[in-house]
Amino acid sequence: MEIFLQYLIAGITNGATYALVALGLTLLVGVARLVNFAHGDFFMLGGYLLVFLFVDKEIPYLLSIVITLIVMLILGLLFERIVVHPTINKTWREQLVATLATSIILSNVAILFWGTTPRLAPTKLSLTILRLGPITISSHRFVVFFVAVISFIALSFFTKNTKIGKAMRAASQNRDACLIYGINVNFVSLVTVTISTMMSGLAGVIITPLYNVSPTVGSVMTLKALTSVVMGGLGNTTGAIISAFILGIVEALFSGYVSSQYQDVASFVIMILILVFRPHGMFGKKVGI
Amino acid sequence: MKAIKENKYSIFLIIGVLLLVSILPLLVNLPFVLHVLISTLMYIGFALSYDIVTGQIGAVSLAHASFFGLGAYVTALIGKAIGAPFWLNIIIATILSIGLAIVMSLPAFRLSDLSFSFATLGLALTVQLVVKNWVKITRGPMCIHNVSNSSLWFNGILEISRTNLIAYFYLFLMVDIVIIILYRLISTGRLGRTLTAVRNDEVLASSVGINIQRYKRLTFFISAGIAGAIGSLWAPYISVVCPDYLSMDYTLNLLAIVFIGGSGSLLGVVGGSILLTVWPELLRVTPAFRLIIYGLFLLIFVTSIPNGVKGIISNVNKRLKIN
Repeated sequence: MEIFLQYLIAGITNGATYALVALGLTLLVGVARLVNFAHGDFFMLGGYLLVFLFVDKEIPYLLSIVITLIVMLILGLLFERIVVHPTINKTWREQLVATLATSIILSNVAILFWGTTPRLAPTKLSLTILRLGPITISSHRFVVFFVAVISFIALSFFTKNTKIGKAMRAASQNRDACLIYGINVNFVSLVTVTISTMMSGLAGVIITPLYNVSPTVGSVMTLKALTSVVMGGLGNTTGAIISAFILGIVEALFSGYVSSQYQDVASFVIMILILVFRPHGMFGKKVGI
Repeated sequence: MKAIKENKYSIFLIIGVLLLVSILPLLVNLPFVLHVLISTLMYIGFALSYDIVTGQIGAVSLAHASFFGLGAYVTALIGKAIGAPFWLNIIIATILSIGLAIVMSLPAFRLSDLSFSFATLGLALTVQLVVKNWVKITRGPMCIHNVSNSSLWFNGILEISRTNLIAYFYLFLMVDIVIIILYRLISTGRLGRTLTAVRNDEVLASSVGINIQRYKRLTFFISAGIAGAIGSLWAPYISVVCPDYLSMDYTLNLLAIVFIGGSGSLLGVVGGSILLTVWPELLRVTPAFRLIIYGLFLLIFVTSIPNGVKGIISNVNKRLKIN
C-alpha cells in the first residue's frame, strides 16, 4: 500500500507537468487549429534555460524562472511570426513539416549549446525530503503541483474574464465568424501561441529540479502532451488536464510495477488505442476551450 | 501539395546521369570522394522509398527509419551468426521490414492524415526503445561493431572488403537503378494515377470505387521493404549498427530531402538527395549542425516555396516558354 501511494504521488506530479504542457498544446489546437510538433521542445528549452541560469550562472531560482519565462515569451512571439502565421491557412502536411522542422532546429540547437548529457537542476527544496509515515516525498513535488494548479486557475480566469481571452474562446469555436465580427484573429493567434509556449517552458522549469533534461526529451514530451490532448478531445482544456493526470498516474504505476525502461511505451500505446477506438477523446464530442 | 507533372523522359535522364557517374570511380579513385558518392547513392534510394508513401500517396509516415534500422540490425546479427551472402541478407531484411510494416499498419492505417503521423511517430519511438533496451540481442546503446563484410556466397566466400569502395559504389548504383525503375512503375500508369487520386482527395477517390486502404497499405509495405533492403546494404559498409539508426533524425533527413526536393517527383527527390547529402559530407559538419540547417531550409521551403526545388525549376521553365 505504501509503495502504491508512493507511485501515485509521483504520478500526480508527473501528471501536473504533462497537464501544463498539454494545456498549452490544446489551446493551440483549439484556437489556431495547429498541432505543434515542436511543443515539447519548448519544454526542453525551459528546462535547459533553468539549468543554464540556475546551475551554471548561479542566479537565484525565482529570478531564473522569471528570466526563462521572458525568453519563452520572446521565443513564442518569434515562433508565431516565423512558423505558425505563414502556415495557418495551409494543409496539415505543411503545418506538420513546418513544426517538425522547428522541433529539429530547437533540439539540435540545444545539442550544440549543452551537449547530449542529461542535466539536472537540484534546488534546496527538491533535496528536502518530507516523511509522511512510510512515504517519502521530495518537497519540490508540492511546488510542481501548486504551480500547475495556479496556472490552470489563472488561465481559466484569463479566458473567461478578459476581452482577449473571450476572443480566444470565440476563435476556437468559429474562426470565420470571428473575422466577420471584426475580431483580430492574427492577434488572438499571437497571444495563444505565446501563452502556449510559455506554459510548456514553465512546465520544463518546474520539473527540472526533479528529473533530468536532455535534448531528446522534447519529442517524447510532445507525444505525451498529444496523447493527453487526444484523450481529452481536441481543443478541450478540462479534458486535457484530466487526461494528463490519468496519463501521469498510469505511467508511474506502469514503471513501478511492470518496467521502468518501457515507461514511455505505455503512453504511446495509450495514444494509439485512443486514436483508434475513441478518436473524439474519452469525454464524448469535441468542445471548444 | 499539388501533383507535379512529371516529364516523361526524366527517368532516362536520371539513369543516363547515373551511368555517367558510374565512370567516375575509374577516374578519381579517392576514398573520400567515393564515400560521398556512396552516401549520396544510399540517400537517393532511401529517399525514393520514403517518397513512395509520403509523396505518392500523401501519408506522412514518421516511422521510416525503423525499417532502415531493422534491415541494418538484421544484417549485422545474421553476419555474426551464419555469415550469409548479401543477397540473402537483403531478402531476409526486406521480408522482416515488410513484416514490421504489416504490424504497424494494423493500428496506423485505421487512422488518416495527421493521426496517422502521430501513430507512426509513437510506433517508431516504441521500436527504437525496444532496440535500445533489448541489450541481450542488440547490445543496446553499446552498438554492434565490426559487422561482417558483404559476400557473394556463404561463409565469406567472395567477400567484398570494406576498403573496396568501388565495389560498394557499383552495388549501391545497381540497387538505385532497380529502385528508380520500381519507383517509376509505381508512380506512373494506372497505379500512379490511382495513387494521385487517393492523395488529392480520399473521399472522391473512394467514391469512384478505389479501395483506399489497399493502396495505402501497398505503398507502405513496398516502401518499408525497400528501406529494409537499403539498411541491409548500408550496415556492412558502415560497419557499426547503433540504435540511432532507428531514430527520428533519419526520418527527418528524408523529410527534408523529399520536401525540399519536391515530393512526388522522381527528379525532385533525386535532386534533393544530391543537394542535401553532398555538401554536409564535403564540409564535414557535425550531425547537429547539419540538422539545424536542414530544419531552416525545410521551414523556408514549406512556408514560402511550394513544390520545392522541382517547383522552382518548372516555374522557370514555364516562364521561359511563355516569353
